[in-house]
Amino acid sequence: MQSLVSAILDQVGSIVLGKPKEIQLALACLLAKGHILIEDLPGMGKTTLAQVLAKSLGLSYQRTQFTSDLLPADVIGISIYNSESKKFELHKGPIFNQVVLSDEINRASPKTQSALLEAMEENQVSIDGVTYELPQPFFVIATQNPLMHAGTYPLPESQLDRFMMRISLGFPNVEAEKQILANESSHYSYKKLLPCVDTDKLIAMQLAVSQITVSENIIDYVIALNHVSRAKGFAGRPLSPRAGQALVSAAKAWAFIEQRTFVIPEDIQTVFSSVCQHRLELTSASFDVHEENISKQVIAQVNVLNPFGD
Amino acid sequence: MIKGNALLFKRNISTQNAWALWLCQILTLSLLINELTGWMLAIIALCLCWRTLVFIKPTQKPHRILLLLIACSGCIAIAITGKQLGVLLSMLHLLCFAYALKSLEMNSRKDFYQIILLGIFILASVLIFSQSLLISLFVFCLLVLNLSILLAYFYPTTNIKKPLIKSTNMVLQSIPLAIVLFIFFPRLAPFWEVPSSKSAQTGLSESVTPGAIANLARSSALAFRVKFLTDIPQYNQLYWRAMVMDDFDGRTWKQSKNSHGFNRGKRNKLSGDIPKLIGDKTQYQVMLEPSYQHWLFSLAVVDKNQLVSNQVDTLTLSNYTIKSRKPISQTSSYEVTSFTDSLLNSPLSFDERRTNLHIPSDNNPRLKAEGRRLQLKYTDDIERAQAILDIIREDDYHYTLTPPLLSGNGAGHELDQFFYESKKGFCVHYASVFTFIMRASGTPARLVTGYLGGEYNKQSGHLSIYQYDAHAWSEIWVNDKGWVRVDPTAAVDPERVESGLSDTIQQEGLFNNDLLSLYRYKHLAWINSLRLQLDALDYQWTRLVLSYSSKKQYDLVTQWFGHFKSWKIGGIIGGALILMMTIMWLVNIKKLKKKSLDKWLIQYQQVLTILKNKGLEKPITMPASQFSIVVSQHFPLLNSKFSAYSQCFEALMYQELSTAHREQRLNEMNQYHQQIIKQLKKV
Repeated sequence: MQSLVSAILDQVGSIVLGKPKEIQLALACLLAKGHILIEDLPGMGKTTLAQVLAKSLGLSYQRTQFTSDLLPADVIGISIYNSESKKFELHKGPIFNQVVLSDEINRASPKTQSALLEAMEENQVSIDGVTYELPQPFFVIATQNPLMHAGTYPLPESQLDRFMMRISLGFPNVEAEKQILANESSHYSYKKLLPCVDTDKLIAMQLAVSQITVSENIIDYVIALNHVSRAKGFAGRPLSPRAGQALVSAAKAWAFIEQRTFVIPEDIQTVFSSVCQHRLELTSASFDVHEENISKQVIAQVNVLNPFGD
Repeated sequence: MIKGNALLFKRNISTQNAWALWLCQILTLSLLINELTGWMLAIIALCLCWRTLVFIKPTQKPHRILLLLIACSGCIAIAITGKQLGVLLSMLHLLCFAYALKSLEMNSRKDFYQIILLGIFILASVLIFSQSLLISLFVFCLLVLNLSILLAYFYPTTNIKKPLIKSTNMVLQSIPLAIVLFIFFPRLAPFWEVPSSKSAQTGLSESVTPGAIANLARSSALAFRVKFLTDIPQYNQLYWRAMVMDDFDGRTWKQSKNSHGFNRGKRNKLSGDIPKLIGDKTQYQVMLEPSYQHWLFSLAVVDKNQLVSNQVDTLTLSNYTIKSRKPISQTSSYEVTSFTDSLLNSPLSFDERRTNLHIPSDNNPRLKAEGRRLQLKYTDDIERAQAILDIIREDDYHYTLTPPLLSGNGAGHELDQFFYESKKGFCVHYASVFTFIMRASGTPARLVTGYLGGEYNKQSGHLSIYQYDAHAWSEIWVNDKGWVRVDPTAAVDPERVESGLSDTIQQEGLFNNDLLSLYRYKHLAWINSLRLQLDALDYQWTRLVLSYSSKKQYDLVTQWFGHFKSWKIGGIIGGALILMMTIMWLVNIKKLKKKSLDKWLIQYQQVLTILKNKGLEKPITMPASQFSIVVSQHFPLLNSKFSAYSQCFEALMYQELSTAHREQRLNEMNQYHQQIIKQLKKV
């Protein structure tokens, strides 16, 4: 199973150059059954990462470009009257795929955003009073531009919370950029990629992740981190128990990718920023607060070996 | 777990802690303000002020030689005044002097220990002088504060809150054992002599001079408490007799040698004719506040065979008062049975008759003339007394606590001046005049001082008698009745005798001596009920704690465990100790278990400590796995071993291991541990 993990990582890494940590985080998020939000400037490779991931996991996927005039029906689907059979027929929207790529999610109106986000939480959609189960496994990979960009509707906190992780790619290093510029063709080479795993194997991997040991010491550590964010005078929003759950799940997946059977504090620290940054940030302050700071502040206040100690 | 780490020990006291210590010193010493002499207080204040200066400017510390000089001269001064002060007080002075001076010499840990120890010792000595509930609670709080300051010194945080909570917790845990020790530990008699220099401040005075005091010392301090075991007599029957003053020199009433210097022979002679006790008996327990005097309080007539006390060595006198052989220097109690209907009719000897008729020949001629006039007019003693009371009642006399000073018109005629001119006075004036006229008319009469009445506390059913209840009245000798009590104050202000001080009197700026006293605000209902509740609480404290004597202890042990044997006491205390420790152990067993499991954590901490000494400190937020990388960069020699060691540690910390695996990992880790320590020593 571990060979599959490294195969996926290698394959994605061959297209998205110089970003092994971000790729690993994205994979961990999917293995932990979480949805992922990729936030960065245009042209940084967000969509590429999302597409390569979907391809490599061998899942059915469809990409939707979110725009301000996109309607909920465009995402979910719509019943249309068929004059021949004299019946309403359901035209399924892009959400009935295992991987849904929602490009530039914050360009869509809040109404459309919430239609998608409802599906993310419930794993089902209702059209004209009929409930349809979504195919499993079901992932939403969303990308968005930074909030200050023109024509964006920021996702409210409650909807941001549905994403297990928010990652950003950042600028590539010189080596990687050189390679990107040199091989013009490689940008589109992902279309020819073959899937590394099938659905059964992916589900088996998810099961393996859920069986990773989380000791009491780790739970204590997570709780201590949560408590720091809830303390009086803390500069961000407090972390919810769901945030703690997401943190533990993501850390388990990370430990799995790192080929360990148990979670160590380093796993927590590694995934912490990706899992908690978007939950900690104050929306109003996010324009000027440097993003990494607030997660680091939280981590810097907890003693690893004695989380509740003095 | 890190708490035990010696490396966290801080050499310097934090500023907050130093201030707390300073405050603690001031509070402790303020408890002894009444005991310390003025010059000592001045020195202490100077030392503590200097200490504040050092807070602001640390360079202002006094020079060592200067400190030595102050210490020496202070000791010499204490030695010189030692004779006046007595052993106990001079020792106390020395202790307080050292305590204040030491705050200027805080250079090392040793000094810090000494000052805390001194503080606790002084706190204990505060209890020699007062054991009231309030003081005891205050001392308890200061003890906790002292301990928290000591604890805060070793605490990794600078905040005093946590050590405060912890030390309170610890002291509270020790309370059950303290109670066992209190109940069962042998009660030793104090081996110091408490100075009796305070007699002037509290209690009744041993002589009374009407007219010499314009403002009666009106204090709402507690004099004593009484718990009645039988029915409580009426308020106007509660004449608590303390002293009988039968010696009058024209100005001042005193006790004559006969009754004052009770001699054994006379007492023995009297025991032949024990007063006939008739009527219902009134049984009560008196709990005395320290008065530093000999006088005990009782209702007449006391059955001396039923006078029980194990704290006071009592004596019954021929004038129906009782007395302690030693001054009352601490709260003590005794039980009395009185027969209030009995007559005070032990035969009057010739000497006694002469003393009780004596009036100086050279003063107060008008009163003497009045006495002779009445002698001729009324043959019956009672009628004559009634006539005087009628004069007082009907004429323009006023009861006031602030009478004008009596000059005696330059010839010692104070009583004349009062009776015919000023006509304003309190109990002593009226009782003196009455007694004087009775004597002038040929009836033996005497002045009795003590207390009248008392405040009944419904909650605990006891009577509290305060200093402002002090009273003086007369007794006249009637041939077939013996000594008959006559209270002339009743004639001028009946309310005083029926229910205590009247409202008009209270408005005379009463109790100007104690502004803070709750009595001042008695008219506010809630304050009054609060005052009564506090009084009830203090009463219980006095009854249960302060009156707990070796006799009570003996009774208790005999009642619970049969014959009193010292090995039994030892057994009880030892048993309690073991019981307490078992309980503590059971409560903490979970924590202890966890600690014993976490051997690897302790080991890992040890290695971290060594690394820290070598200059490589692990940031507390850095996980072990990352730290092993840092170590490999700093100490390439350790590289493989340390990362394997860290892996073992993390596996033990975070992996779910079977017992066998755990043992195996632990062994591995032990081996690495030894090797790493060995290698680190070489580095």
